[in-house]
Amino acid sequence: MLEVNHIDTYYGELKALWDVSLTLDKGEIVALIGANGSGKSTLLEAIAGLLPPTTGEILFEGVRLDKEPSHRIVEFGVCLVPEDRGIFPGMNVSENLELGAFSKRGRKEKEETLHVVYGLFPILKNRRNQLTRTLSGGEQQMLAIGKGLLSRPKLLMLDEPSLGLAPLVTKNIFEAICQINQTGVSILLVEQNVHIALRVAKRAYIIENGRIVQHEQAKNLLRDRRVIQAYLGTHYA
Amino acid sequence: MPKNWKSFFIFGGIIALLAMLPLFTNRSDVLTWSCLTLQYILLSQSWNIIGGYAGQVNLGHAAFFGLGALTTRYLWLAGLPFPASLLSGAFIATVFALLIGIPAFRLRGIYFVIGTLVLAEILKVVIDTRFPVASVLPVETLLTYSLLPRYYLSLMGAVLSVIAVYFISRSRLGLGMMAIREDEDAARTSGVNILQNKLIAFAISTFLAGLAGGIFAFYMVAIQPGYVFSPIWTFDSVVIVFVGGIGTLIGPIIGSVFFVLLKQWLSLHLPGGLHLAVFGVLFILVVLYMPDGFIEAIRRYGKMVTLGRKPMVQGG
Repeated sequence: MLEVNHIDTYYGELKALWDVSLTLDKGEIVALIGANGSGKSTLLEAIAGLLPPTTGEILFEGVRLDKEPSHRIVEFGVCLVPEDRGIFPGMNVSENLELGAFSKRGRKEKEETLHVVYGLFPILKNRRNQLTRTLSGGEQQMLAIGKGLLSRPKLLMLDEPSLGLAPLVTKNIFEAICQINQTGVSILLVEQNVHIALRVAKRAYIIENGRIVQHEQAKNLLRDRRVIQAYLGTHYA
Repeated sequence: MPKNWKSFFIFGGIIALLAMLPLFTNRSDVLTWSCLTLQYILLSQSWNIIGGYAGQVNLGHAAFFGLGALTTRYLWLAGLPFPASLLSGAFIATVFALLIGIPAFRLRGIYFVIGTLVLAEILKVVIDTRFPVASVLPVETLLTYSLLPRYYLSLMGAVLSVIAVYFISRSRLGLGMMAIREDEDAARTSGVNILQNKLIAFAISTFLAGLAGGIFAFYMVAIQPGYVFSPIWTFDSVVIVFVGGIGTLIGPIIGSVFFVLLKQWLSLHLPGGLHLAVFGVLFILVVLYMPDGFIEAIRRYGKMVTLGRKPMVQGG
């Protein structure tokens, strides 16, 4: 469904991605793992059109995404929930969800999706008139994912959904991510919490210094000595 | 929605009362102040659309007010019927806005602010040198000059701007504008076409600013062409919007009433030009201590009265 073919990306003069390729099939959860500054977020931004690649191509269901502006990419059913969550702190919860359904694609089925989102995260319904900046970190992440779902994505890209959250809240968020995946939404996941990421994902890519260095079934990576030492800590060995 | 109906009746009632104002009084000072207040409502609401809702701090607003004023004035005095002149003025302002909007909206934040400010100043210098002579109404127009049509025209302009802001704030366009104001990247990944949304907001804003200029040109007996391009028009609007409540429907109305009354009172009691300093200080105080403007203070006071106790600190 998603095919990233040999892309290079620059921040001005600085090269951030070198010849990166990645594929994702319909219904899959794929994890992207790497240290800080390795290019994980950059790759998601490239797919979402925020930082188009200079070479290579990004194909989504046969469409060249790298030729499209961000707001059009949303219409194709590709949605990014960025690391800073992409929510609007000065607006209340329902306004944020309303903006999630801003695209033509999302607007068509807004009421149904809203129902699904409130079912997934009931707390959002209770907080719907509350200003977003007064929500807790976990609630903000739920809102970010809920807002993303309102665009009716076929592919949801999540950048560090566990960032700054307590372990129990992280567990809830990942349960929700699995539920979302079961409804047929493919997920591309960037996550520092490698252990949890490799348990929900089917396959994973390891990225180092802007290059993909390894690509494996997630369950094999969980047993890989190098991965364990680099990302999980020795007590897992 | 009974709550909405109440607002509609209040709004309709105020318009009806204002429309009947000339029946109650023929004091020309009252009518003059009312004209000015209504014109300021139109101008400040027009700035509120781009600055308050879309969050693009346009400090070149005087350029659009000036273009509307000058175009309307010269077409009207050249013999074109006034309504056609007025619409042409607003149209020219909008066309100019779209021409400069495409490059200007490539700038973000402070660069957009400086860019628009400089643009208006360049235009003012050009106009000052190209049109050095004041435009005075011809004698036959002066003989029939009456405040009444000016008053009703100002009222129509003000009402139009309030209606425009009301519908924008409840539309998809307005939602996109507010998203851009809050976070441009998040708006983009939510599917908002940033440039298109900004340009539409700018076009509506400058159309109304051009209209305000045209009405002012109709109202004034004598106009120095450079004066309508003076940065005063920009900064008066900014002060009014901030003092009243930025990004709100009612804020600019409260701000305009307060601004005109205080300005008249100050210019009667302070030596020439000093009232500008008072507004500068007031602006700083409002931004520091009352960033949501008078409207928020009134809302809190209202809550305090109805609850019968001190309001709780917001946020925390």
